[in-house]
Amino acid sequence: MKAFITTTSFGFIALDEEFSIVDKFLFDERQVEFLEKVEKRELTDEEVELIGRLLEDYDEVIIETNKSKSVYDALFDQGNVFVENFTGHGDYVRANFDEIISSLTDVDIGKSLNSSYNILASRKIRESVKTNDVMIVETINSLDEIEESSGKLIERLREWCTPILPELDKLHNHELYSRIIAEYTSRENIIESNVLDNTHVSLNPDYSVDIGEADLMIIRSFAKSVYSLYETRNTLEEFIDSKIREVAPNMYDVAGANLSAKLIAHTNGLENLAKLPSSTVQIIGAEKAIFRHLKTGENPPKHGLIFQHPLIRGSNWWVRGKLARAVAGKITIAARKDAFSGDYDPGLRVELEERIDEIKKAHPFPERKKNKKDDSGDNGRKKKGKKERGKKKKRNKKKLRKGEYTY
Amino acid sequence: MQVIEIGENVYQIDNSIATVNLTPGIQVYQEKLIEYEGKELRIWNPRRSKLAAAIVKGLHTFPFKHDSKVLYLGASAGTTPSHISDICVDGRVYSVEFSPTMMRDFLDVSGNRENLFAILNDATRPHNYQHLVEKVDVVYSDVAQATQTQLFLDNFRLFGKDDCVGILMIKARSIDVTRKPNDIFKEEKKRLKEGGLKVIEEIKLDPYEKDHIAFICEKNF
Ligand SMILES: C[S@@+](CC[C@H](N)C(=O)[O-])C[C@H]1O[C@@H](n2cnc3c(N)ncnc32)[C@H](O)[C@@H]1O
Repeated sequence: MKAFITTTSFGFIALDEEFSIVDKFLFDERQVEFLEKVEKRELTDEEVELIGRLLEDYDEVIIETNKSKSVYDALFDQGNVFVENFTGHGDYVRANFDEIISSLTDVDIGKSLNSSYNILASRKIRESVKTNDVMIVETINSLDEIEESSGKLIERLREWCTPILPELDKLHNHELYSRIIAEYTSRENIIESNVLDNTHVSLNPDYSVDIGEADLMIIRSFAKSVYSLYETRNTLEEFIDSKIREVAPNMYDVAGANLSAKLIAHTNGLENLAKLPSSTVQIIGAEKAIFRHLKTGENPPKHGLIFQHPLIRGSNWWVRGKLARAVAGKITIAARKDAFSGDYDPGLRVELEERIDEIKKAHPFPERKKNKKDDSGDNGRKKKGKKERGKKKKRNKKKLRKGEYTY
Repeated sequence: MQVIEIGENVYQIDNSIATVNLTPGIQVYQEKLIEYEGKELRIWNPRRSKLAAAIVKGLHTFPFKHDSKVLYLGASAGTTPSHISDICVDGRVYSVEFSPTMMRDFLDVSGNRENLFAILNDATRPHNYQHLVEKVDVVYSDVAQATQTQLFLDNFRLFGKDDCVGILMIKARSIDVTRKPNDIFKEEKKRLKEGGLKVIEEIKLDPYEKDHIAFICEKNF
């Protein structure tokens, strides 16, 4: 005789061949905990006990489950436990769900499912945040390393090739350079292929150096590795792009995929980043400079990683500090939306661009320190309530203003 | 203001449709709320919900009753599910969504509505949530994916009762942007037939949604 086990949201239910309930284990108030285990495909002691009991009375136990057979085989090795991902008995339980469940317990089925599933889903959301963080951190770090290595290797390759292809050194695109060598290698092949058609570089067909086939082959094999590094880099970049777009759409808009990923990696997760004040976000990645500032009173850094933001990097040096503050502010808002509310707000990017334009318009030229007296007088008025800040702070403040010229 | 009851918990108010708000005073997507004979009606916007668009465009078969059990695939932030939850007050709406971000918004809705059940899972793998769902009267699918018809069929087979009604919202663009929507619709319809279903009604959703069609189907015995 056979017994059939079905997993339901309320517990494991065992039916005999005639579809009568013969045994069960109910999750009761541990519903969420058990549903999580089922989801993770963990074999629980309770299920094992149920199978054990059934094996006393039945020749075979057929389990409808997502877990693999080997999970059970480790415990029941007599070949009388079978695993299916769908059984007619499971189907029967799902078709007569209310009747079956209410014959076993008097919980309010709807209420219980609503609240358990809500808890289950919100825990899963939290976990998915964690795995996403890990993926982002590892990918961006790998990307950094690839860039470092490929930078070194392409220099080697170029040095190696210069004697045979001196003109090609004018080709600044490293990826294309490595691809050309990897795919065509010899002067004749490159000329024939037309790969250089859309570049400003051309090869002289008459130039000739003596180089043997074996030498070319070894260069080619090295170039292939270099080129494949660039390909990997591209794949990683695409991955980061889609990941950030998915998990932090607001940051994607405001900071771009790469900078977002670096900030997330630096703080070890989106939620950590979202908890930081904007003044800290502004200097993430400039820790060394901050340390120096604290120790020696040197100028505090005005921007760390944020400096890479295209809206800042491409701007005049005298507004970069102000821009960095604006960008950091928006990134902070974006990170909080992404981490805590999940709302996507396409307005953030627009607001940021407007703010940046405002700042640039307000400061078309570098502000020379006008008059020393004027300046300090101004400072004094602004800081009225904070006179107790003391002289040392004031000196720092002055230095900072001076520092604005350094970028 | 002319108000007619056109279905269980569904009303027509002049040129709009609405459902009876299960959570009076609470909006889900800033829809208008209207008092009517001691009930609060929630305007159901056909531009925001494809099911509303299908109704406005003359949907005949309306399988949602006060006690229906529904499997909803692609629940998103809960716009349409909230109206189904208004209708199926004594029923259950098992709502599958695979994007954690969307699900976060959905939880705000299901937190207030006892008949909405949140399932954060991939609808292309129904066996993964088989233990969380029972057999249902309606399978509704709106996932806007290339494999939308296949996953609809898989779920229908696994969870549809014998007399289950299936509603499949097809967005031509998610299947192929280069081909004519009508050709795509024809092909997907054929796929449904081959999958053992018969299409009992089909409704194009324009002008509310461009190049979308709603297929209403049943098991073909
Ligand atoms: C067009 S939206 C649905 C809108 C929703 N039906 C409404 O009217 O309120 C499509 C949703 O399906 C979800 N989706 C896409 N593929 C899915 C899958 N394989 N499993 C579960 N959900 C999926 C998407 O994340 C998205 O939220």
